[in-house]
Amino acid sequence: MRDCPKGYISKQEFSAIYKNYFPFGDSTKYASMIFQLIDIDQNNEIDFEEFIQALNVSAKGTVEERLEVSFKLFDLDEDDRISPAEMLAVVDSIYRMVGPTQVLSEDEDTPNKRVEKVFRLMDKDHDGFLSKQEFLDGARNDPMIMNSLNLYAGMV
Amino acid sequence: MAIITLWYLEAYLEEMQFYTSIHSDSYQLCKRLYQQCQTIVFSETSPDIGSHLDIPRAKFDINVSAHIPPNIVGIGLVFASFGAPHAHTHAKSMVLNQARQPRFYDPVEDEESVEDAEDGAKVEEKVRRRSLISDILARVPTGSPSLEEMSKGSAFSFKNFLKKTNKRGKSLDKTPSSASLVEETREKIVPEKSSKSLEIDTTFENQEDVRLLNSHYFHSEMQFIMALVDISERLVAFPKHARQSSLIAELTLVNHNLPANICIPFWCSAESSNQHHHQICRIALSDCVVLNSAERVPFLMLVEVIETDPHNKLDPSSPSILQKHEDSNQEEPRVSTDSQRRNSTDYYMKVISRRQSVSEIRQRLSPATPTSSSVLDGLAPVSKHPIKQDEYADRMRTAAVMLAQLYQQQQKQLESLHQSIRKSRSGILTPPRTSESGRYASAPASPQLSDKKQYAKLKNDFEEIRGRVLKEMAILEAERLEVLSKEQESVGIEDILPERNENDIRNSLERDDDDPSDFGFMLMNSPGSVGFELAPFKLPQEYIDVLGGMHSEKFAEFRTLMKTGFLALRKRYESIVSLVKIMEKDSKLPCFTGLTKPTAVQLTPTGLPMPPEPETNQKYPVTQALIDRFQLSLTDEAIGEWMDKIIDSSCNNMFTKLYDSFQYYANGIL
Repeated sequence: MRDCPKGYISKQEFSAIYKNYFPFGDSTKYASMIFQLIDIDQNNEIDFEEFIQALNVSAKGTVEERLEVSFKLFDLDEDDRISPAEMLAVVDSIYRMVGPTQVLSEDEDTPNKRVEKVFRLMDKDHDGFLSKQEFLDGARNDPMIMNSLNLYAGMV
Repeated sequence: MAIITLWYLEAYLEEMQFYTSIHSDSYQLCKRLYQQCQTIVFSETSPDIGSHLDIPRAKFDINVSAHIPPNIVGIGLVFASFGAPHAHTHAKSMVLNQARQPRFYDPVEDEESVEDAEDGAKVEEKVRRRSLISDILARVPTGSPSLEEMSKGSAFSFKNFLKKTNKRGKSLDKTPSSASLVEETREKIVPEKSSKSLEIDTTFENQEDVRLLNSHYFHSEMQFIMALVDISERLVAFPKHARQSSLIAELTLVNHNLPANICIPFWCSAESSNQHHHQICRIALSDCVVLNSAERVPFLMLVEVIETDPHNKLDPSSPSILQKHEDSNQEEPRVSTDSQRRNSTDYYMKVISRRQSVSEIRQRLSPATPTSSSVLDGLAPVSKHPIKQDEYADRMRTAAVMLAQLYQQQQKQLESLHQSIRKSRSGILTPPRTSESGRYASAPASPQLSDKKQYAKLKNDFEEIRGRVLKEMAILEAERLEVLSKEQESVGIEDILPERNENDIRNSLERDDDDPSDFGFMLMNSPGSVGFELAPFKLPQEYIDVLGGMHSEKFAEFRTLMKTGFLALRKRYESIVSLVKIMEKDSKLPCFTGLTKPTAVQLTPTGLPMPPEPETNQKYPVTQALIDRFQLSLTDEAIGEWMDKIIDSSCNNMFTKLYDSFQYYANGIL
């Protein structure tokens, strides 16, 4: 509680923290997305409870829980499926934030390419959207994704 | 030695943080070094060369705790994994590292989590590691001892240190033994850092014990110096006249905690071979002085130390150091203040000023910290004192500001008074210029004879120097025929001849020394800013009496001398005037700025208007006045008459008397 004596975090502070960790990129977009994700009651503040819930899911929960929340992150219009545009928006913001520090392989070094690749691999029924099931299956099959999902593994 | 190294590293680190970026290599290197030193110094287990590398790495096994900023980013990364799984590689280590920092604020939580864990052995391990790091961190003093600690009088004591480190969540099985350790040491004052013969009955091995003592030494040493530095920082907030007393108050507080196991490292004669430190036992409160500089407040203090004699092997079982040891027949440990008195101040100045730079840098880094708040350990709860101090400092400041304002107001009033007087004075003075051609006898005060003794003395001197003067005058006459060069003038002329104004200038100009005469009085101003000096020059009654009366032979001689002198001077007026002219240009000196404007028309004594001066001189009013004094337009005979007139008017001029009495009453000048 000493870190934020007010008892909650505002969007600006949230962004600022991200900026600290990713000084080379532009983290505002992604930060706001994550902010919206964590701020469950949508009052533009993250209070302690919301924070702990988010931390719980990321660090202590099951993989499924994490994937569920991730799905929510990407599904911006909340229609239970992810369109390429939605995914592009998110991926683009991530790429923007991480910035030039990452060396990426040829086939996914731009957000577009990444989105295309994902849809190619995971959109089984080729309907142009990712349903939740496709999302979950696709994620589980990709070792890299699994790896990074378990960032906090064994550490809580 | 070690502690000096530590300090240097600290200072470099802070400087680098300020001047170069955090990511630069040198900074990282320095930081690593510093942290390793800290580990060596403060860790409980003795690090070998290889093992101290392990200790930082041991940190990595510790779990993540819920710090907010790193975890926020961690969460973000987790959820970004679908979109960009590679995103985390860059930030992961940073996040984890930071999240793994132990939490200081909730020791309760630590204990709880200890109890919650299922596996007993794992608990031990976790607890041990956690306590290891937190111990190290606990022992690094981050600030000077808090006010509470200081007021209890034991800020630097070993007991206190143990208490602090125990609070850190040292594992439960160790606490009973450390309690007994406390018991033992209460009776014993540990004299030396390396006394392996310390007999303390605990479950610790001797080795660990010694390490504890070592870290205690470092800890208290650093705290002591930090306390002193903070005093200086706090003093900056005080107005200057309050600083001395507050310094004494602060030092009293520090004194309350002495004697303690602290030495002054720069000056301690201990080395690895000769492990005998001196001990500070008291700060002499009456001998401390505040030195004010522009931004900082260094202060001098006198420290009394006890030097442990290298021959004396002090038995740790004896209750106090000051007791003479039984089997030594040598001198008891001497309280060596005098010999070190001189040195201590110099040395301490050095230390203090070096610490100043460190503290200044620290201050720069954290500009938000108010200077008057006391620096607290991370542990001690916030006490009421900082608030009171703040208030007090504020009040002092406002009082000082008010005083300054009042003073300023007063000055302004005085200034305006001065100005009005000056205006009126210049009004008075300018008309007489036309008639008397402005010979202001603003000579420096000549000694006023008040009784017969001085009178006789003056007569004597006068006789003596008169001869000299005559000689000099003759020389002058002779030399004016030769090429202009430096002439030696008798100093005596200055003392005796009242016609000091011109000869004064002459003397000082032609003497080859750097004696700055008071041109102000000579040229323009008169003291007291009232038009006292209306006489052409000062010729009080006493002088006339010395000369033997107005009609005496001596007086006549005086007259002729004056005339010849003046004539001689006139021939050389140009050199004098040019000098003054040069000085006058763009000068801000009051003697040059007193004159408001040059007068319009000047009449010679013969009544004819003077030919218009060359244009340049109008810009130099003071020079012009000086030129006028020389009476360039008169013939030699006319000069003679004029001089007589001058002398007569100066004799017993009432203004002279008035001025003398003014000086007497106003300034006590006789």
